[in-house]
Amino acid sequence: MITRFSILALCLTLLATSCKKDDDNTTPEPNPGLEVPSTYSFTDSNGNNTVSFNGQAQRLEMLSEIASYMKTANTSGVSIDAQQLKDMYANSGFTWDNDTLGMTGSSKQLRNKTAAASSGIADPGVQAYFESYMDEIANISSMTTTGNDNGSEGQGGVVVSTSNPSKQYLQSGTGQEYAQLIEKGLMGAVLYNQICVNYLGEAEMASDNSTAVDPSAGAYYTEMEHAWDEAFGYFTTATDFPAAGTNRFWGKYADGREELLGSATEIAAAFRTGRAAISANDLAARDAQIAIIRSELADVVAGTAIHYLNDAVENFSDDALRNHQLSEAIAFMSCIPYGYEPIANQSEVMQWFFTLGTDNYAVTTAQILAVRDAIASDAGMEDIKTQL
Amino acid sequence: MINQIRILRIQDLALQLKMMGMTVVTLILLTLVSCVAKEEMEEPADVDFSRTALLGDLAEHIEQDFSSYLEALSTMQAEASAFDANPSISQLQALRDTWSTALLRWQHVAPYSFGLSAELALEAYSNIYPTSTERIEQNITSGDYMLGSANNLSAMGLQAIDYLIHAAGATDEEIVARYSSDDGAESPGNYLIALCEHLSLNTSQVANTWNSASAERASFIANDGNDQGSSLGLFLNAFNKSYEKSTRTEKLGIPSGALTFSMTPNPNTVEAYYEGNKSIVYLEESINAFEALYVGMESEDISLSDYLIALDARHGEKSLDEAIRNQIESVRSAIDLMDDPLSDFVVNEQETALAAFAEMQALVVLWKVDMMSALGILITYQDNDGD
Repeated sequence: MITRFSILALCLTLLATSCKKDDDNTTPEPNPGLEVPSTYSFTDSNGNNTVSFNGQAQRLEMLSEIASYMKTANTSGVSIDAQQLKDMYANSGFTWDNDTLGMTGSSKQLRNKTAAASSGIADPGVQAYFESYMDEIANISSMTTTGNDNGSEGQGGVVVSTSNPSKQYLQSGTGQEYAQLIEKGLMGAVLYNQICVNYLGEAEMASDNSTAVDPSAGAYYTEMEHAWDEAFGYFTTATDFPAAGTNRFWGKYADGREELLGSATEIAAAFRTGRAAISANDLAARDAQIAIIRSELADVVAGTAIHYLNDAVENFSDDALRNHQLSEAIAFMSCIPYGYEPIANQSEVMQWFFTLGTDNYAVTTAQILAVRDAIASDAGMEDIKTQL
Repeated sequence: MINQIRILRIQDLALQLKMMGMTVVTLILLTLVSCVAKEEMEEPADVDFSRTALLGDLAEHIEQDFSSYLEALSTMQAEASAFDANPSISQLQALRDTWSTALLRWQHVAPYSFGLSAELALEAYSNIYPTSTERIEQNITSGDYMLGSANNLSAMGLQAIDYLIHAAGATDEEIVARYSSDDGAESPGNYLIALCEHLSLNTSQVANTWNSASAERASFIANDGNDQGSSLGLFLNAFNKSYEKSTRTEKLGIPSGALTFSMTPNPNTVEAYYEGNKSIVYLEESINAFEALYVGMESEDISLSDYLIALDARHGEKSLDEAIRNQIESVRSAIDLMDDPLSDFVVNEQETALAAFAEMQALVVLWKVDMMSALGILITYQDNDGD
């Protein structure tokens, strides 16, 4: 029987344990009655798993292997092959390592999803950019010789950090680190673009939400549920994110800004909540989560660019680190226009690049801070720009 | 997620109770729903100590140090102009003295690489060494350079001036002759003055933020938590990073070879290499600067030392404060055993130099690990993006 005293005891227990940090005013009210699971796992009414994002998992894995391959060139004397990079990019005749996902010979690739969300087809100009970067990195690496870390101003090669000699990076004679421009650039032009503009966009979100796509083939999800899963899969393949999945791509960078922006927990919650909303056919609730994901992810992109610009000032006198961090910042800036209603379009971002100049050895802190301040202003992050 | 479920259950419970007419308990439950507690950094034990007062004293200390350094820069700049206008050996000596004073006072400002100082990369602009004499000469000849660009860091600042006034010629006569040259392209005078101006300009911008009327100073004193973005957090991270990197590593670690596999000394990497006979003096001045910050000045009411005492921080059987003070003494004694020119000493008596380095390293540990832990403040300057 519920007595006055047992209720009071319950209150006191709850009081002691339920006070948690509320660090963000934008955390939305939970929808009463919407059951949101604590991990990204969903089933139909018969208990069949409905979550599926194999295509996205493949592409994340491909980008991982591309990144790893490029990093081998951070050792002098290791030459990487441009054609191999392009074959990996297009998944054309390439045999992947560790291929439990079935990437080799599959129809999935990064190339045909490059800057593709707005029009539905990849942008050939952007594809060409990435392929030219692949030529560059291969070219620079081919001229290095074992044991000779001679990268410096005017000389492409491996540049060793003076403050932390365990860090070294292959950079051009103007301090451009193509491994970053390619990996982080593709994070924007493919992953981010697909999440925010394609899968969370009107067309995909108008998909059927009433019938399972193909139960006989194990596809127990509706088209809309599947579209949502694909957005999630481009963000992370870890269904328990952020308990896992903070080691790569947008999961990693969302986690990197968690302290100041709460991004990892908020994006994870929004994905789960939106998916629950779809399964409950509550499209208004779903739309609220779409807005959160787009906004939070845009903040991660801008916040990360600012973070790396701050790092570049912090490490200004260390060529390897400054160039590395500037290259990261430049790559994340290049991601900005691929979001939904981005804070800056391509030509504005080009202005920022113009301010930084084309030579990371000739940049000044004033130039770096001017760009940092411009991004912070556009992103509404002025009050935290020095802490990011 | 757990919060949401709790909230739902509490609301359910509240509804039931309301129906049972237990309004008082309902109120308590509804209050629970809005309960948000601010999670704080692990606070050191509750002690009778005012961080606000400490920050106030530190701000005063910092303002004085910048003011003093700025004055020295101004004197040096005036002397540089006088020398350039009338090059002579006696003017050169006078200029050298003012430069040395500026470098001594710089040691007191080096620990403050946070806030605007960090944003302007003041340290990188002021005291990078070893310099690139090639780059310096190239800039003099071309007259076309952007002071402050990354590729000019080794051609500007106090150490570039060291070169210009001590080694721009093989002898003092040759130096004076260069500055007397009618051909502007040959005279290093314009470049020397430009370097002095750049130092003054950037330093005064930073110094302004420490004036008693400045908003930045008020905000520094007001931000009295011990979390990551707090003033004490910023200050102590800069303090430790400067002592570890700029003092221990750059003044002694690299020159003595302590930090390389091969342990080969690098005589050309000492501070004030071209002046040639006072590198150890500047090292000692740096130790003085850090000690003054730690124990406080006579004019100051409270210091970091007082804070550790108030917390009764221990180091084994001793108090941590005592351990730190003892180690500072050990560092001093070990440095005392070294003689200038340091560039020769690290080659000829490397063992003694390495022993001094070891004592400096022990002090790093006490400040960076023990003190920070006692104060409950995180070291953040070693964070690694892992890329």
